[in-house]
Amino acid sequence: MTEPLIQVKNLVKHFPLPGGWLTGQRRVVHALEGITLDIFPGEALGLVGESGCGKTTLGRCILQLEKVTSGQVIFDDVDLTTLSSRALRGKRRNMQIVFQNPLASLSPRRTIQQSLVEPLQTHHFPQNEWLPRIDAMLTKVGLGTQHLDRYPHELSGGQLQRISVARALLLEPELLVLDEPTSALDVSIQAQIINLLDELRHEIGLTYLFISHDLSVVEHLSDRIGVMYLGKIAEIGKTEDIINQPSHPYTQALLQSVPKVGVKRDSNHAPLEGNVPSPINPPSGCRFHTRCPIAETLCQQEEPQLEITGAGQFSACHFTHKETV
Amino acid sequence: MNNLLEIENLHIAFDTPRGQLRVANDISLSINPGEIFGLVGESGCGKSVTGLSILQLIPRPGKITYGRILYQGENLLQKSKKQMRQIRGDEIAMIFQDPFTSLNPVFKIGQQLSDVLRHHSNLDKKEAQKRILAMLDSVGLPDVQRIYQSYPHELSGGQQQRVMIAMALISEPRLIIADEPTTALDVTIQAQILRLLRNLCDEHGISVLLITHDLGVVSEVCDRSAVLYAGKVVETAPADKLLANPQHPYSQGLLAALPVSGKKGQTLQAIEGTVPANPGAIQGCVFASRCPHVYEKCYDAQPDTYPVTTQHHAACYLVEEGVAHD
Repeated sequence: MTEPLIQVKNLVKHFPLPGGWLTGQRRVVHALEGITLDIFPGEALGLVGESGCGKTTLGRCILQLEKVTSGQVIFDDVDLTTLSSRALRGKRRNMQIVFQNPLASLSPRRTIQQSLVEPLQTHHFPQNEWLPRIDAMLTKVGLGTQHLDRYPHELSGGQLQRISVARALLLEPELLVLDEPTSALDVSIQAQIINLLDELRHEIGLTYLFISHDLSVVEHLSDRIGVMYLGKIAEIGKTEDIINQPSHPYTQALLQSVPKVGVKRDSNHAPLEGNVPSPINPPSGCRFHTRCPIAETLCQQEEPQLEITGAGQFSACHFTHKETV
Repeated sequence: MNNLLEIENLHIAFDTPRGQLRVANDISLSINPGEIFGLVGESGCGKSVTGLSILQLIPRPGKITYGRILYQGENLLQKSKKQMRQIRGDEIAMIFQDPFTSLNPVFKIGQQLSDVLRHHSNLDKKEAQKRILAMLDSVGLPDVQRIYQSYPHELSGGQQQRVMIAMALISEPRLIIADEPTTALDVTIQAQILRLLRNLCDEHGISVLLITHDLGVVSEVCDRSAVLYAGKVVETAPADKLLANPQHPYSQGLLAALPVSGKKGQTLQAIEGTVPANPGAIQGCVFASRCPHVYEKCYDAQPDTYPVTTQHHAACYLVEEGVAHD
C-alpha cells in the first residue's frame, strides 16, 4: 500500500453568518462536516455533488485557501492547517489550482506572459529560466509563443483554460486541484481540455483532485470518485464501482438524473423529489433522509458512518450496507 | 396548415461599429402541436436569438433582416406592437435560463403572477388568486399558500423555475419557448423540471421550443430536434434519429465529443478549431474550416438542405451525394 500524498482528517469548515450577536444565536453554514479522505500519488480523485454540497470548499480547504474550522490536512508529513502563511507559501509550489472561469482567473490588464511569469517570480526561479520554462509549458498545453503578448480578452475560452493549466503546472506541482475546469466551455472545446488534462497527468505523473458537478466528465477523468451531499461524503470508491454498483441511494439517484444520449426517460419517474436542504440548518441524522426513497425512522435519529461495502468502496447509509451483505 | 409555428428563411443581424454581424442565416424550422422541439447548439450559434425573434424581443441593435415567422399561418413580423403584446403570454410564452433574474425581487410571487393573469383576462382578484394557486399546484409546488406570499429569494432555484413555468402557463399559451430552462439547476432538479415539461405537453397539448446545449436533454424529452451551427440549421430530424444516426459532420462531432459512460480513459474526439467569428461573411459551408470530411466544393458555395429521409434533413454535400459517413 502506497503512502497517501494527502490525508484529510475529520475536516470541518463552518462559515459564520452575519447577525445574531444580540440573541447569542449565531447562525452558521455547515459547509464541511467531518470529511476524511486520502489522495494517493498519481491518482485522479473526482469529487461530485450538487451545488452547495461543499466540493469546492473542500478543494479550497485542502490548499489552505480557506482557514479550516477544525481537522487536519497532512501533506508530506506536515499538517498544513498549523503552518504560518510564510511556511505555506513554500508548500504551495507543490499544490496548484485551476478555476472554473479562466477569464476571471487571469488578470485582464496583464499579457499572458506577465501572468505566466508571476508564479516563477514568486517562487524565486532564476530569471534566465523563466522564458524557456514558459515556452516549453505552452507547447505542452498546445499553444505557442505567439500567444504570449496577447491579453486574455483576445483569446478564446478554450485557449484561456489552457493558459490557466499552464500557469498551474509551471511550478511543477505534485497535486493539481481542478475546480470545474470545463464547466464554462462548450462540448467540443470541453473535449479538447479533457484530453489535454488526461495526457498531462500520464505524461508528468500528476495527482488530480477533480471537482465537478458533471458526472460523465468526472467518470472520464477519475480513478476514484467521492460523492458529496451537504458537507459530507455519501460514498467513495473506484470509478467503475461507483458508476456500475452505486450503493448509496443518493449516488443511485444522481446517476439516474443525468440526461443521457440515447435514453428516453419514463415521464412519470423523476429519480429524486424535493430540494437540497439548507446547509445552515441541515437535517438530523442522515442528511439525505428528507429526500431518500428508502429512509426509515432510524435515519432521522442516527447519523450513518462511512462503512465498507466493497473493495475500496465506502458508503454512509444505514441500509445499503445490509443489502449488499 | 398543421404546423403551429413555422420559421422560414430567418435572417438576424446586429449592426456593430465594425459592420454587420449576421448571427442567424437562413434558419427554417417548424413546430407541430404538442411536441417538444429541441434547438441545440454551442454558445454563439444563434439559438437564443432565434427564440427571442419569435416574440420580437431581440435586443437592439439586433434586427430581423429577412424571413417570415408564421404562427398558425399568420406572419408575426407583420403584427403591430399592440397585437404582439397580446400574443406574448396569451399565445406564446417564454421561460428563461436563470429564474432568479427573471423574477422581480421586490414583489411577492402571487403579485407577479396575478399581474400577468389580469393583463390577459378579466378575472377579479379573488378568481385570479384561485386560478394562480391551482396553477402553482399543477407545476408541482408544495405549500402553495406560502409560496403565493413569498418573495423570489425565499424559494430555491428549482421552485423559482417552477414559478416561471407557472407564469408562462397561466394565460394558457399554445407554445412555450424555453431557453435553457434547466441549465442553472442541479441534475436532480433538472430531472424534475424536464419531467414537468414533458407532462405538460402530453396532457395539455402545449408545444415547447426547447433551446439547449445539452444533447442528453434533447435525447430525454424532445420529439424532434434541430442542430444549429454558426447561425445555420445544419440538421433537422426526429430526436432519436438525430442522436442515433447523425448525418452532418458537426452533429457527429458534437456527439463524439461527449464523455460517455464506459469509455473512461479513452481520448475524446474533440472538434478541432473554433467557431468562425462572423459566419455570415463565409461564402461556403460554415463548418468547412473544422470539418474532417471537407473538400473543394464546401468552400465554394453553401450547401442546401438535403433529405436523408422524409423527416431527416442535413445541410451537407455528402448527404446530397448519398455518401454514407460515420
